[in-house]
Amino acid sequence: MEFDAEAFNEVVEGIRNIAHGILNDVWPAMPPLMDRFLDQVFFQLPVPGWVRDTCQKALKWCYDTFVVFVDHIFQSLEGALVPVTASLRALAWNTERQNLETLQLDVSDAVKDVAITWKGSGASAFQQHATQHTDRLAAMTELAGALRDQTWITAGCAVGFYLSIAKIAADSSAAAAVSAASTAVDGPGGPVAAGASAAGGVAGVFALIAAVTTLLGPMGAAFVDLSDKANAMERDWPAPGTVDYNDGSASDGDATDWSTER
Amino acid sequence: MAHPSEEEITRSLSSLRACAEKWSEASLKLANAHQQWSGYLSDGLAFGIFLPVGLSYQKACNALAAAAGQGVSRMSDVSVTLFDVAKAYEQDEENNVHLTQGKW
Repeated sequence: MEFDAEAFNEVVEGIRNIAHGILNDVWPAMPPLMDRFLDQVFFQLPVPGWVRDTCQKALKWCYDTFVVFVDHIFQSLEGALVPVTASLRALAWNTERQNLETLQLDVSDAVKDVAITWKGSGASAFQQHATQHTDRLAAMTELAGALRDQTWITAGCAVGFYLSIAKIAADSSAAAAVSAASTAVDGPGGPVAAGASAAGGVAGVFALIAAVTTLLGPMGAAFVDLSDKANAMERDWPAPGTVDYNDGSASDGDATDWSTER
Repeated sequence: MAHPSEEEITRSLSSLRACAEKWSEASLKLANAHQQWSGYLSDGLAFGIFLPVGLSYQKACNALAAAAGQGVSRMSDVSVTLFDVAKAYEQDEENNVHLTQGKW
């Protein structure tokens, strides 16, 4: 399955812009509303300045926190396909690893066959150089396997993250529904308690995101380690060394000749 | 020193050319791998909250692709050389160079 990331990102970005637009439109009306609320709470008495400041600061903090929460939600939405795409990539890397392993064995077998039927300084030099190359293919096979394993771990972490999000959402909305349907007399406390349940859900999501964020560092570092090893492999790929065995001709009398078995 | 039979020479040249083919094939497969690893295996993903991991993943894919790219030219060189060796040896054998030089 190929996924059009650009189209998906475009849709998510569009929704994010709408959400931010709404938040931006709503915010200017909130501080005056808070002032009016305080005026009503204090009846005709003047509202102490420190009370007004504290309430306005608390309101701004709530708003900023909610904006951050919305951003986290959209980031989570953008990564919602990671469990699937990472699993598919892990499967693909498993195939690549198998292909590399087969390739390395095929080349090694062919080199061994040549060692049976050819002797001479050129043939010996070829065997030495060929071994360096097949060793490098074996190392590449190992790296592909490590990349596969690390991609599986990423997929597993993503699955755990979204299952936890789903559980938090289900638990908090169920609790909110129960609270909203009850009153202070016959139940846990009506709309206020429902709001508290929802806030508990939000806090749970924040805690989960914080927990996942701490995992991202080591997971990313593991991939960086793999890329460092691959970079070293690129730099140190053995030279073909063909000058040591490039002469199949016996007529020039140099020391790189090949001789058939006899 | 005994002269190798025609069959022995044919078998030896055949195994050398088969080996050259294998190196050529390896070079082509690495070229294909280079394209895939730096292409669809690393692109086309939306990472969202997993962005830091995603970027590291892409970096690893590209680094492995670059290593494969390096192997392409090196293994191709080996293949070409082995084909040349087989051709030169065959020509020497046809011209009885080994025999006149007392190799056998």
